[in-house]
Amino acid sequence: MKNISFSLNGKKISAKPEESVLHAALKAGMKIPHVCFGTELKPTESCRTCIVEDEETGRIHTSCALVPKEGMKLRSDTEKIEKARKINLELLFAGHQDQCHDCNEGRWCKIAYQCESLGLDLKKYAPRENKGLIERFDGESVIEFDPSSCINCNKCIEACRKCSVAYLFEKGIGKDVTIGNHGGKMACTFCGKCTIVCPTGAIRTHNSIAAVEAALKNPKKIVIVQPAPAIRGTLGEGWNKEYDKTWTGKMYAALRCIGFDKIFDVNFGADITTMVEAKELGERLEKKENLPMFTSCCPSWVRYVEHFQPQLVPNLTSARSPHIHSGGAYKTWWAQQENINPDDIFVVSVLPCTAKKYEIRRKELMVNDGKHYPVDEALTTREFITMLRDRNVEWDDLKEENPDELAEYSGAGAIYGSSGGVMESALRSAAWFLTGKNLPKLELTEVRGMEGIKSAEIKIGDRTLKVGVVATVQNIPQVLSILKKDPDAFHYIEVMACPGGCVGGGGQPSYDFITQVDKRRKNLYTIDDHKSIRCAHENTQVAKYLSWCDTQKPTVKKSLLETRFFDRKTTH
Amino acid sequence: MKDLLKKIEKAGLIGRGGTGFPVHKKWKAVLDAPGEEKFVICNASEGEPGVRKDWILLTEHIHEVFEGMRIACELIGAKKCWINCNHDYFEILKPRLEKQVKRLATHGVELLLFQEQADSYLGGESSTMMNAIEGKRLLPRSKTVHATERGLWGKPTLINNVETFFDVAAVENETFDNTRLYTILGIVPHHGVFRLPSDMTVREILKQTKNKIDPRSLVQIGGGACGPVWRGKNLDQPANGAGSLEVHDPNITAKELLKRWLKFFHEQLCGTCTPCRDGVPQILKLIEQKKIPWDEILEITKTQQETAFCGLGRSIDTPVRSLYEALHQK
Repeated sequence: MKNISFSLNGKKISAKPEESVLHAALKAGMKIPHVCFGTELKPTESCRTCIVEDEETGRIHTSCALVPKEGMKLRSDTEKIEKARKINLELLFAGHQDQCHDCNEGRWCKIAYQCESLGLDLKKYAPRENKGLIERFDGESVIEFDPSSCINCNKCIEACRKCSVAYLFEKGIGKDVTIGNHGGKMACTFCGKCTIVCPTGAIRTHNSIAAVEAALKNPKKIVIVQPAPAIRGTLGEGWNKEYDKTWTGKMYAALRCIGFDKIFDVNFGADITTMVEAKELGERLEKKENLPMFTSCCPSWVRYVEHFQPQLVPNLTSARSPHIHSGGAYKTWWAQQENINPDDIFVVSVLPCTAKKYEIRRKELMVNDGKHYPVDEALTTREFITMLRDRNVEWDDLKEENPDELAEYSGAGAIYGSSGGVMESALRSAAWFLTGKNLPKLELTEVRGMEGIKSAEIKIGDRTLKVGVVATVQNIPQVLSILKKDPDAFHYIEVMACPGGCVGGGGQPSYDFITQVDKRRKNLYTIDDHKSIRCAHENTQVAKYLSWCDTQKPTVKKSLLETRFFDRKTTH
Repeated sequence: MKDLLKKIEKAGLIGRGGTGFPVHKKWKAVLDAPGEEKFVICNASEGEPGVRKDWILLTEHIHEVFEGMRIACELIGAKKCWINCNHDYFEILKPRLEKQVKRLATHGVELLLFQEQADSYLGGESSTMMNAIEGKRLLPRSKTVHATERGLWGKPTLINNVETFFDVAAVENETFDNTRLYTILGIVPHHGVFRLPSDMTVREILKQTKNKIDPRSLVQIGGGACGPVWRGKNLDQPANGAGSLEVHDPNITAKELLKRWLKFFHEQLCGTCTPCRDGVPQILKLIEQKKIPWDEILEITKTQQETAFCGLGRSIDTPVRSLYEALHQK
């Protein structure tokens, strides 16, 4: 089928067949204000702000749903359109500014931006009716819904259906319509897709900024911060910047601006995870036990297994997730070295993830005889950007800095944030464990990319390892049906709950096109390419930590390196 | 059968559901739409407050109505058709409708009976009605897709009002005399349903039905919720829309009328789109001001008319603006 050519505000645009006017316009770099539209979602046509006028007929259309006809002349800037759009926006956001204090985007949201650029008056109309109390999903401090900020665009429902388990639904009808959830009947996976797409912060992550600020103000606390792998490939987006090699250094500088006492790195933890996981993979392959082995560093995926596919619990690797590994190391090994009471250590992780806010409260992860959680607070990328903006930090003013003493990492740790990255890292080290040699080619390009399901056969010594890489739990049923037909179809499967892996995580900044996630993903591989050490087993700090762990009692060592999972399906 | 479309066009038949779309154009669109399977729906929702013409046709002329349906099915090649029946009429009409089910079956057409939800104004909106028949939530569908191309279960679907099918049967029998049914209600001595020429002026209709009214009275044309209100020289035009005339109390205030309409829309709106879902409650608040802030209200209703998702939201402007004009006309 041929592309369709139409014009918007006099500029020629080419649309693919069935592509909407708004989609094609955004791709062409043109802006039409919109609220309820997402390029990955089915248009709901509810906000009525992306309207355009047909110059020939004078008819008004919603550009999100309008498939252009050849030669159509459209305008989004006529007086009629601009007036109607302004009124719809003012109706939508009437009284919205009163909600800033609850929102983790603070005063920096798109609504505030639109108010300014379109000259909106949010006090023109009476505040929208409050439709109820704030509700926490599954009663956990992870994701919450504030009906008073909800504008019924239903993007969250679409995103949940597309990426996760359809936990959300449209509740009620007419003037009482709101977002309902299946809490009590089924579990939310906390993937946070709803929080990215929500245009008003009605569905938002639990706000951890206040707790972090309080710890920073407490003179007794030594506050350690550790950024996750994905952060350095994303952070500059907060200032609309394009990636370059200074981002890692600027990220450390930005963390310095917040006033943390120590800047360590989750990438260090990722190398610990790789070591523990690769070793376990080797053991399971030898014993032919609980195969295929599944990764377990994605807490959203773990929650999905525990609640929806508990038969897979024995197949999850018992390795802890990277920031939990490193958090535990700070509160035990490092604390001992530095002669610091672990009670005084407060660990903050900066993560692209929403589900990690849930993971850090899992009791079985506690260290020091159950006295301390490895990580005390989990900030999302968005929360971190808000904290930086509150401090008037400008990206261009940041000068590259280095982290503090405990932040050595390999290229393998750096790529953890990309779908396929954990698999690649683990195989680099598993090969070393099994054969005593590194793989002839470290880059496993077969498992890289944005596809939902990837597979490859990797030769390690004289054995061929069949591996699978899955992004979003929506693809799990397909993988399970492959395994049902052939239980030996895979030896090792990586699963991430988000498209593209952690870089597409629920705590990341919103984006127009999924290609943005692909860019972030590639940024991480660039870091790997330039690292002098590429494999976790080459990380000298990790080697030191692991040999210290070996000197501990077996139960203590286990409490630092391994974790447990549970069948939670029966509980609801 | 092709002759029929020409005959319908020549008779100047327009849909009686309220929008006044030429019948032959809609029928031709469904006829020409690609697809093996096509459907016909007779809309007997009759949701406009007070209108009773479909009821009269289904009780007194049910054979003609379903003859129109049969003709439609034959023309477009539909094997299945539905009647979307007003909730309150359904139980009473059921035995008679079931007879028609049997009769149409002998013509190879399956007629299915669908009882609408109670008090559902939106249920009569054609795309919402299709969702209801499909067992989905009562929400309107995107207006970027036409039912004539992708209607019920994505198949080309012909949807017409009860009276339209009745008229088609009359055209086929060559008994069509360019009349239509008018429901007259409100503050009048003789209310009821009357058959009169379809181009008759409102003043003449009232005269013919011996309804003398107070010159201050506003007459709401074509539906008690979404029709315009007229008085004075406006009454010298034909009554368009769904064929009803509601004569309001001459002493009713503008505020009372606005409140009555907007409360009705507030109860019936579906909640999908901004101008309707958020605009209606704002207008209800604005009405409460001491002096009606007409500019602010009309600004919202105009936005609703231009940008609302479905016909309900788009029609709010008509009564409100006509009231403003009636109050300010010289």
